[in-house]
Formats: sequence, C-alpha cells, structure tokens
Amino acid sequence: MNRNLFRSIFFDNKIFNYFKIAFVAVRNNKSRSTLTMLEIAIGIAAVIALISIGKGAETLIANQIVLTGSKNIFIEPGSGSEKPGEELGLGSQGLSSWIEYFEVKTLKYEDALAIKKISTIEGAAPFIMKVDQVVYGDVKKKIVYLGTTVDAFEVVNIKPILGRLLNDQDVNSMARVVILGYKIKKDLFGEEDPIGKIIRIQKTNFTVIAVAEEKGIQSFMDLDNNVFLPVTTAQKLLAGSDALKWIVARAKSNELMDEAVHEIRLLLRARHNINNPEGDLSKDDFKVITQLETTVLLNTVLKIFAVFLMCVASIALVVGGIGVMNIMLVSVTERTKEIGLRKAVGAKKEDILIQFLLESLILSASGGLVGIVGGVTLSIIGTEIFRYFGWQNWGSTVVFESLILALGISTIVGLVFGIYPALRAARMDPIEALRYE
Amino acid sequence: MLKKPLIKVRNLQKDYLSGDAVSSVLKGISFDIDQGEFLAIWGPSGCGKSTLMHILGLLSRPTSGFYEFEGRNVNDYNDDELAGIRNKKVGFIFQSFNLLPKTTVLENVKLPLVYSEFRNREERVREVIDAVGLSHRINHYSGQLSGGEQQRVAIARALVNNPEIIFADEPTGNLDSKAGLQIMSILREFNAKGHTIVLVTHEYYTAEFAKSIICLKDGQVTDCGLVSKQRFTAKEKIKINESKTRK
Repeated sequence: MNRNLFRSIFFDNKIFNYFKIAFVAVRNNKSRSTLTMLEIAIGIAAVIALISIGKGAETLIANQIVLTGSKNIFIEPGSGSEKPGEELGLGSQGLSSWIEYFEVKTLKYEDALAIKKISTIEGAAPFIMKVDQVVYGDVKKKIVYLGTTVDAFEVVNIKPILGRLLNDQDVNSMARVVILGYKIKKDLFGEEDPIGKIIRIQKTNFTVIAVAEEKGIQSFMDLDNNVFLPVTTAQKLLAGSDALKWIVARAKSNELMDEAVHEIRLLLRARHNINNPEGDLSKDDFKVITQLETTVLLNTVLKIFAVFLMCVASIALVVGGIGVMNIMLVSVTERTKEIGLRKAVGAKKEDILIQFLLESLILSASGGLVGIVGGVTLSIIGTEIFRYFGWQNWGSTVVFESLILALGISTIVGLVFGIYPALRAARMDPIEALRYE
Repeated sequence: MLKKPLIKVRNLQKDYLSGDAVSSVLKGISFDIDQGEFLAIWGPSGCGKSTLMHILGLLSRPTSGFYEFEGRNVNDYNDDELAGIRNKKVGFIFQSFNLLPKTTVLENVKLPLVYSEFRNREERVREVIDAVGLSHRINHYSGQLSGGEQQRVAIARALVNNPEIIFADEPTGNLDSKAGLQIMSILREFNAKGHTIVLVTHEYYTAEFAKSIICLKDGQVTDCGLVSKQRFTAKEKIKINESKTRK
C-alpha cells in the first residue's frame, strides 16, 4: 500500500515528471549548463557582496556617530568653501611632507583656547598631526603623533587603560610626556608595563604616562596607532610650527549646534581679521564641518557607490539572462523533434511551456545558489580585509534578506529570459517539429 | 444494431501554400474506419498518404471537408483538446521510431502517460513492454537497442494509453526484412486483440498484412484492382525485402 502511495507521488505526479524531464535536459548538457549557471552566479554573487558591503559601511558610519558623538564640530584651516575632506592619517612620510609644504597654517592653539570660551561650547581640542618614527630600545616604529590637550580625550572619547590623561599643567609646562595608542604599546612593549618608560621621537626623550584603550578607526583615523602628547610640546620640540591640523570643538547640546557653528565662524573671523559681514564662506581662511555634514557626505558617496555597484550587478544579471535565453533557444531548436513527439503523444501547449520554463528556472536558480555561496564567501573575505586594516566597526557580513533577494532575482531572471524560448517551443506545429532534422 | 464508425471522413481536402502557388495534396477523400479494423493506406511517395495520416491522427487539420472522430466533428475541438484526444485515444508509430535516445526504455514508453491522468502507471508501462517482449531491456537507453527493438519500444509507447486507434507510418521502413516481419506480426497480434490499426506504407506487400487496403494516387482514392493482382507469398515478400536491403 505504501509502495503504491510512493509511486503515485513520484511516478504518476505530473509536476514531478516535468521536473525530472527538465533535470535530465540540464544534466544531458553538463558543460553548457554549467557555463550558463556561472553567468547567473556571477551576477548574484555581485548582488550579495554589494549588499553586505553596503550594510557594513552603514554600520561603520552609524558606529562612528555613536562613538564620536554628533555634537562634534571640526575646524580645519583653508578656504571655507572647499569640500570637507577626510584625513586618513595613514600617509607615507613622502606624501605627508609633500602635504606639509602646501599646508595652510592659519589655525593656532590660541584659536582653540578662544573657541573653548564660547558659551555654547563645552570643550575644544587642538590637534597637530605628524608622521614620525618612535624608538624604544631596539624597536623602531612609524607612528602618527597628535599634539593636543586634555579636551581631545573628551571629544574623541578615549579613556586610558593604564596611567593618567594629559592635564593642563602638561600643556602649560611643555611636558615631555606621551600617551600611547593601544597598538603602539603592543608593538613597542608587548606585555611589558610601559608606564614611566622612556621612548624617543626625533632624539627627544618622552616619558610614557598612559596607554589608551583600543578604539579601532574613528573619524577615519586609526587611533590605536597614534601617540598623544601635549600640543605645546609638539609645536616647539617636534613640528617646529605652531600651525594646527584641526580643532575639534564640542557643542553643549545637539540643539546648540547651529548656534555654536555660527559663533565659531564669527570668532575666528574676528581673530583672523577677516572682514566678512555677509558670511561668504570662500573669504574665510578656515572651514567648519559638523559630524552631521560629514555623515551626509559619506552617505551620498556610499549611495553613489551602491548605485554604481547595482548597475554593474544588473548588467551582469542581464548578460546572464541573455545567456540563459541563448542556451534555451539552442535547447529548444535541438529538441524540436522531441517537442513534436511530445505534442503527438498528447502534450498540450502549457505542458511544453512548463517543461522549458522549468529548465531555464533550474539553470538560473542553481546559478543563484552557486552565486549565494560565492557572494557569501566574497563578503566574509571582504569583511576580514576591512578588519585587517583596522576598521573594527565594519558591520556584520551577510544580510539574510539579500539571500532571499538573490534567489528571487535569479528565479525572475530565469522566468523572464526563459519565457520566449519556452513559448517558441509551445507554439511549434507538431508535424513540422516531427519532420525537423 | 447499426454500429457507428470510429472515423468518418467525407470529401477531405488539404492544400499547401508554397509561395503564391497553392498545391492540393488531398483532393476529396471519403471513407470510414470501423472499430477493430486493420486498414492499410497504400500509395507511392508523394501521393498524400502521410498528410492523410496526420489529419486522421489529429496532428493537423484539413483545409476543407468533414472529419468525424467517435461521432464528433473534429473542427469543434481546439488545439489543446486535440492534444488531449491524441493522448487518450491515439497511438503513433513512426518510420524513424522517434524515441528519446538518452532515455531508458521505461521512460520512453511512459512518455504519453506523463500527460494523462492514468493511474498505476508503472504497472501499465511494464505490462506493454512485456507485451512487445522487451522486459529484459527495460532499463537500457533506447539508443543502445537495435532498430527492431527500438520500433518495438515505439509500439509499446503507442499502446500504453490503451488507445482507440494506432497509426503506423511506414513502421518497417527503417528495418531489415526480418525485423520488419516481426513488427508486422506484432501489429497483427494486437489487431487480433481488438486494437484498431491504420498502417501507412508504400510497399504493397507490407500493406497486405492489413485486413483491408485503401489505395491513394495523386491525393485521391483509386482502385486497388491493378496492384492487387500482384499477390506475393510470405516467402516472396522476404525475398523482395532482402533484395531491397542489399541495394
């Protein structure tokens, strides 16, 4: 009895038989089918990889905002009408000295002190940034040092895991003290306790007073690879210039942001003797950027990137779809006689249509599955690469919805590009098909 | 009781358009086929016998004339309904077998059942394969079989639906005389069991296996009197066939 039931399901079932016919057709042309599947797979892999990279970047940006706070205001030297740029802090010595040559030197430590006094501002950190070499014993390492004040740790939200932060006295007395980034401590000292140890930058000795917690990349700087020291010390002993790279100010609340930005502009114009009552940003010798602006810009860039990738993926999928259609047309032509025979023994138009649609569906859906495997692999590798380069906040890898989407897309591609060949098969005249040689 | 014929054709015509010229292949054909008959349609090549068989087998439609299948005018059916009737009531045997080569004997014979509501398919498939004596080949690919065996698979396929009528289009045309004879005796056997068979052939000695013969010439039914005078014994038939094969 059970055997009969089994039979009526698998031997007698119409749909099962259609699937079987389609599978046999795909199997009988292995290399052709595999190549067609690969065409689809590449498109699908691209879709999945781009979705997960987009998600990763989104999470990264969201984390940036949460971690560094949306109340931060960046002040950079240079014309206020230029597009806000991002400092990567990873440049080579050659590149950074080239940049130094053209560097605009309009922001001073005193500007930061003045900004700090504005009523809507709760802190303002000056930053000098240079690339140099640090030496401890036999170990040498290229680093980025940041000359700053205690406010920096507030605005960038860094806490020490060992030792103490910079204080006003360090700054005022030009103390030769440094705080090590998490990675630098590991590279120079390993498991050794660095507090009180002496390191050298440009033949000047510095006492290590603290180690910062691990932060990953924030505001597009690899903070773990930085060394912090008093801004005055950096100006006088190392950089040989009092020009600042940025000032990062922090508004007292989100509501006060606009007012704070406006007041900073007025203050700096007054201090720099810029006559600019109409507020023309191109006359300024500084630019003021809020975290929000940076985020908006980044999101725009990401969206353009996503659209671009989407175009590439769509082209790949259309090419794959045309590949499916091409192969299906070949398959239909090759099997004209078989179609004639099936019609002679009673296949209706819809029977033939379903048979060939299933065949193109199997091709594209299995291509979709291979593409999912490929796309997931690409996403995992991509994430590992980003993490390797220090983007610890890079988001989760594969979005589950994208897998469903990929299967859906490959099914649709199979249907859309399979319908024309299938219709052609279904509409064949049985006699002409039977006579086809 | 007057029994209605299975097939009734009256003044059947078929024209083909080739370019601007209309060529008439069938020029008014009328006859009946009764249940249980074994009819041969004989004629030289180009006489329209294949076209006639395609119309009778519901694979194409006449240009004009009247065709009644089981008492109903065929023009009343649309293409899919005709496919349904072919599936349930008609079996085909072709000169070139038309089997799916990369498919087993079992699957080939099962083919018409895929499109029908038939129950207990496997039993039925095994039954007809057994009836043509190919049980030992059931899981072989049809491409591996000899011509005679392939045609027997095709006969099994034509029988599997238990059709009202079987059309055999030059079934021995691609076979040697021995295999040809075997095929004809199988067809006779099934006719004896009650199957209606229409045989299309250009060889008169093959046509003679049938109970009755319709002779076609230039798209019209002609008197078989002339050809029917050339009667052959079975032995002579084999001889003629062999000489043909040697050629």
